[in-house]
Amino acid sequence: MSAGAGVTRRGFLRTAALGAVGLGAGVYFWRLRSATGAAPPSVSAGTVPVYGDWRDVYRERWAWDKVVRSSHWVNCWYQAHCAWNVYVKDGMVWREEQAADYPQVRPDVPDFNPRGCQKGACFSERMYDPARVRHPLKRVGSRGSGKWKRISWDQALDEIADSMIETIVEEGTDRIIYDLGPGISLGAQTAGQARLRTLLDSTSLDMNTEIGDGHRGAAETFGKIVFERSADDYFFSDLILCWGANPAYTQIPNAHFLTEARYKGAEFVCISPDYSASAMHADHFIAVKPGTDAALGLGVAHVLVEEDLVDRDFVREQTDLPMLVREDTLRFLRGSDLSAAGDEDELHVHDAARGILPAPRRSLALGGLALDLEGRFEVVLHDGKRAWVRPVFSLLREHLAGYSPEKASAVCGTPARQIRDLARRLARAKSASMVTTSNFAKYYHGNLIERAQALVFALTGNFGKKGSGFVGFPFLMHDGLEDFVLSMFGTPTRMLIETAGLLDEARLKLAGFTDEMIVYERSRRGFESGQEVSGALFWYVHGGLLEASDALQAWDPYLERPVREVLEESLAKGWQHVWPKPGNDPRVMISLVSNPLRRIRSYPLLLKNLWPKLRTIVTIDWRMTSSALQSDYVLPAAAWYERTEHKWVTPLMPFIHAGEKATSFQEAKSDWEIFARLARAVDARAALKGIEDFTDRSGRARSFKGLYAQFSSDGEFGPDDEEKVARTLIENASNLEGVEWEDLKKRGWARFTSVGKSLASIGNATKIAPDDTITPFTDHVFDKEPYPTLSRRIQFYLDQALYVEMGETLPAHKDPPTAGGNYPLQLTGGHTRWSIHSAWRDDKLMLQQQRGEPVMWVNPDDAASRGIHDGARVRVFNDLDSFEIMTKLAPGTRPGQVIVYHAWDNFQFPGGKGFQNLIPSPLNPVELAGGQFHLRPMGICLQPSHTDRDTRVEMELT
Amino acid sequence: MQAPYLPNSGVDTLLDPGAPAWGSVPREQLKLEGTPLGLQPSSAIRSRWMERKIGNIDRVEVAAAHDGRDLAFRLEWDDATENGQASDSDQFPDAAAVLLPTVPGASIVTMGGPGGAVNAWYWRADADGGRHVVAEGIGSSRTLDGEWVRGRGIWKAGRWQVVIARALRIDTPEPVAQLEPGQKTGLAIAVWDGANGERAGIKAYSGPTWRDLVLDAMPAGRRS
Amino acid sequence: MAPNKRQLAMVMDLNKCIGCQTCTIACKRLWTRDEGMEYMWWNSVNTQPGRGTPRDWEQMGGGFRDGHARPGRMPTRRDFGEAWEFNHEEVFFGGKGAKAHLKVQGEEPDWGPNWDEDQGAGEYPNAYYFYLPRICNHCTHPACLEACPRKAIVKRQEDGIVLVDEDRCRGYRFCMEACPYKKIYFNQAAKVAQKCIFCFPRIEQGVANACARQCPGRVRFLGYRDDHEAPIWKLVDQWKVALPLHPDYETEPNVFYVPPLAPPRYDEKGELDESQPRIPNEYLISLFGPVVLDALEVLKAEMAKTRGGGKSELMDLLIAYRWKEMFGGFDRDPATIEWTKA
Repeated sequence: MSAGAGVTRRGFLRTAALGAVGLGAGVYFWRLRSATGAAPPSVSAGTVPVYGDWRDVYRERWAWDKVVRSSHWVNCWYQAHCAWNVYVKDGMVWREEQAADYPQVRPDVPDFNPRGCQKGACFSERMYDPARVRHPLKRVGSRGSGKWKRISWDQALDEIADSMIETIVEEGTDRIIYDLGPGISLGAQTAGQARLRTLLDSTSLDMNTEIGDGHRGAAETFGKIVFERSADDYFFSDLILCWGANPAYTQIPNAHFLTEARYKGAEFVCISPDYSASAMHADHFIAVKPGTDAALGLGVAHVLVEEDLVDRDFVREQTDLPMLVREDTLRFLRGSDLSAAGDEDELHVHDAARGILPAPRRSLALGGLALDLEGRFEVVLHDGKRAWVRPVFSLLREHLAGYSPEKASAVCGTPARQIRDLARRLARAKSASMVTTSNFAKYYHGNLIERAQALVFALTGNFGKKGSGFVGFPFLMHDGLEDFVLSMFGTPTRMLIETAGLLDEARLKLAGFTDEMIVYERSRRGFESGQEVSGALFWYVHGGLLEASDALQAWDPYLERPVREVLEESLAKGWQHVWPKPGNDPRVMISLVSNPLRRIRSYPLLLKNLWPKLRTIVTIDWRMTSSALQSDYVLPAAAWYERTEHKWVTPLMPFIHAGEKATSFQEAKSDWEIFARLARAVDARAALKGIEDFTDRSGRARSFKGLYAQFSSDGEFGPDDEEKVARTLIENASNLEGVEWEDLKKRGWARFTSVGKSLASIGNATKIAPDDTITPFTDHVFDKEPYPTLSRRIQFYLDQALYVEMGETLPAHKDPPTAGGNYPLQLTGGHTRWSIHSAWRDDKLMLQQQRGEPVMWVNPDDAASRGIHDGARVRVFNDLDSFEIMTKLAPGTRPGQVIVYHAWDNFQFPGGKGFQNLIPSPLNPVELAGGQFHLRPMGICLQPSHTDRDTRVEMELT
Repeated sequence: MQAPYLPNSGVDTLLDPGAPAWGSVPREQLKLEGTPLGLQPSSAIRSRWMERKIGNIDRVEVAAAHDGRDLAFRLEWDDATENGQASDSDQFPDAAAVLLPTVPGASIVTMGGPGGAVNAWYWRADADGGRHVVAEGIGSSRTLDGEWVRGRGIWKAGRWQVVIARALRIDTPEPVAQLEPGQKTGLAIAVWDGANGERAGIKAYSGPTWRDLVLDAMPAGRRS
Repeated sequence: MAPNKRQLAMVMDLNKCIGCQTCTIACKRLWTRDEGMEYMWWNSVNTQPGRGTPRDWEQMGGGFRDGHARPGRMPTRRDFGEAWEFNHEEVFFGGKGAKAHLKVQGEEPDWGPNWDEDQGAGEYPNAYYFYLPRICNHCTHPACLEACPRKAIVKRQEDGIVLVDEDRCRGYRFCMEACPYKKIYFNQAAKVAQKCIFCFPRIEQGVANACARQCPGRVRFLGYRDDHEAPIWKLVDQWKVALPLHPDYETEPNVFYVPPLAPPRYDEKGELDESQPRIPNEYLISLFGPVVLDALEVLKAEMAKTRGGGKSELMDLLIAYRWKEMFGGFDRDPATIEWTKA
């Protein structure tokens, strides 16, 4: 492309380089606003040599009109969040720069400054680029045609409201689906949606397991997935396992803690198939075949057990390894085995002196019990029959015989010597930690991998100590949202709800439930009643994604019956739940900063199966996406700097972040305002049509009348009250003690004072001190608080029927399925350094730093054998379909593996055929389990998940 | 060379290199040579041009005429490639300049010197118009404000025809050539071949000595 | 020209660089967004080994050899990588459905500023690569300054920052040929050469360069070369672990690099092979000269101390417990500046 002189390019902001000289008269002069900044060290006006006016062009370019504290209210997850100063000039955001004013937590750990990344550093460009939605759009061609009409906000909201009212009245409240994407803040933005969907009893999808962040293995083992350290806690590790993670890509603002911990003395070991940007900074790189990490982990466990490197005190107290399992049924020995009236959930241990006794449940403290880890004991059951029982540890030892380093090596490709070294290194470490990754949640057998990983950390007692621990899913948020939603009900109703809640809490506490268990229990009830709905199952059932799993028996050698049969069993037995009930078609879908057609594997099945059922599809977003293209209405949301907001983070960065609206943009509105106006529209349109009543999913009568009054708390929270909402949420929060909104919005951050009481954070099970790093699980390890599992311990043995059927009672390796057919290459992925989900995938600057289009990483040998060169365009195919992509040859990519990093949008591929169309996301039947105490579905975990890393493909030159 | 007086021709007419008025003006062939390597001002330039030919254009045909107000030069030379707007950094435009002394004996090869300025009327193929340049030594050239110098070039069939013109006298305190009909002064010509990477002091020029330029006097009674 | 009185310098620790390009974007958003500057990346980060930006710049000559100017080639915009334009409007609003997909408009690109990102060299599992961030080196003996026939390039007396005087510059581009690091760009619209200005407007206010202050990897130290109390002097002169890139170019850069370590390689059987490093010594020597091996030994020895539970002043320095102390006093928060229009 020619860019010769005189070519003028379109753009929002541009001053010609030379033209700006003419602004000399407008050159800004600085002065200190506060006395805290140091005086400039060298230059004063008198010493600046006068070369000419050209320098003023640059001085002028840096200057600004005002500075506003803000951030990017997007799901960066591990990287969330960073305080930014937004520099506004001429009414537009000119640029941004990290505020970088976090305090140092302890003098012997580095501070958090200057958190940020390249994506955040160019949002000021992104927010004005041509992907931005400027005004409400209504589709005028067929779906996906890209033919639009500009309409007014009133028209858009009235038409959407009409469709909602009609659906609610004619077919039911649960037919309205909210698809909440990774852009939700759980702050002011989400508060409007939460209120409206509660009032209208709509279906709101929990997308965590669908995204692939379900961490099922962690959930199976710990009864929860949310537990993580603060990033500065790595400073107390002497061994850091970067096992399946790539923090150089996915934790840009945190990564310095890892490189610096290494300087402090920690060994940094990277275990992954590819030699990644993180591996380059490792002390050791351990190569492993994709999807075989369980074999590697169990090989390590084998060495730990055989070489007697196990921390026996730790496993006796903190794990289920001393618990007794019946040899005949492969189930735990239960209270109900020993007495007809016995408790099904009561498990047992064997003490040398006292014999078999119930395992302590209300505390992990063993009170002097010397629990056996080995041995074989006979018990008399209540029906008089006899059975042999053994501690889980003794079963495990036997099980691990199949995972000698040599045998494990044959599976995972890692030399036996390296497996032994890794085990000994772990055993030697005073404090071994693991770098967070949601990688394995995206493998079909990822749960087995995570269970094996957790096992090696448990066997070596690496939990609770500073700088130690396997970690799950990082999450830390304020817990003020629920109160905000409840507060829209009048005092009598609220009192009823609150009283019932307190009574329930008391009852559960009496039954030995910890606070954490109570929170999870409530979430589980939500899943039973349809208040919460598994997004993953919704797409499988209503989206028709299950179609792609019909070939699963050909791909998964361990599977003995069709997964549809298991699904039927699971739904029939109430193990898992789907809303609307199968057969009741969804009718209205509202995607809130969500891009399901990009995100969901095998998305063409959604277009084929779900789209025809939907009468109205709405996308609320600040930018166009593949999903917006397939919507009936696209509503322009305010971009991040255009909102007054705060957002959750993770313990990695334990400061809540907040900011103020810096600018406005065309017709874009904050999500809060959109939902307030939508609520008002539903109220008004129903009144106009003379419709007053409707019935919710549980058959209770409700009314449209007064809907908006209720939504807005009688006008207290109107469309323009975004800031008041943000403030109220903060004031409601229990884990931001002493934090004042006015201070918070100016400063942009405040340190959490505790993990709080929400489902999103309570699992961290630790304290947050102002002057110390955070290590998860101190509540369990030091305060002996039970884990929220069936065994009340870190649980490696699972005896739910599906686990017994599938041979997954103990952590095991299973060969990955050949998802998509028997093809030689394994298509894997990973989060990219270049985007957060798809939010920056089509950004011009980010693309310029890549190749301008999607690429697939290929090992040079795999390319050479197919006559493929670097930069060649190839057709990638399997039994499902095909897509076209440019290759990138990288010797760090493992032979046999090809990598397409996360979130290229479908519209970036020829013919709109995105790479996810080859990914069948087969439904693993084990994930349909339920019924048992901690295997029942709850928020963000223990629902079936979507996976992609087992996909098999072949490629050829186009 | 002689610059005839062409009454009523007008500079706008003369700026068209194909204007019939030029038909009556005598043309003179000037041989050009490359500027000396040793005089290139930096060792980087000298090392880069050590093995390369400086001054690709070896002759230029010059004509000059005035109307009592403006003086116009028409330069013509063979150049197989037209180098105008550059599409990349390694491309340079064709260019030409007429150099006039502002004091007798000003040095051509050093582009003047302190107190002995030379005045260049400069045209470049990537820009409309011309530039009015004063230099008092190598690397010292300054483009003066104001659109004094006008220029227009046409490239056709391997040949440039370029007209560069300026008012005889201009109102400026800068050390520029101030001319009168009937005056005799010095003249030097430089041509840059963009295709050869020529720019700055890398050029073909008419040599280290001034050529004579004689402006025909106007008939009595006419004022410039 | 008289030698400058003081010299600002930067040290970049390659063992902390994660290739995120925040520096690149920080610079882009601040300085090179005007017409004619679209393709410029005054700060770039490239995967090494690699062809870099501009493409194959190490083969383009320039600088000096044995004190004499070495001829240099002109880097073209194609070598740097064109600024790409895309067809978002067509894809989103053009009514073409799946028939239009997002792509670079015009000629299909075959290079860009980070085209060979994460490719590197070696053979699996012994592949190797690392990141090399580059800005103008603000050399003590700047080849660009020497080359300019118009003396349009200036090295500032007070801090040694090398600047192109855009009023004097005529766009002759001899500097682009002469700079051996190929860090000067030609602005086709303004017809002048432009390059990293070491954020002089920020420096003037006591604020660290955008690339340094915005670096989340905390890779970059800033300060005066002769400040014995600050990290630059300690890393460059006291510990000698920070080295200039391509000292063989003889321009005496004032940007220094802590050279990269890498995990050990494996032999055919998967055993640790410590007979040779993962990144070949010859390669590092080609970039930093033979002293790179000494610097790596110092780093390893000091790391061994902390591995054993001991203290190391060097490791503490590189950790940078207090971020602001990386900047040699240029630690003012820019948001504390209030501008008033003159």
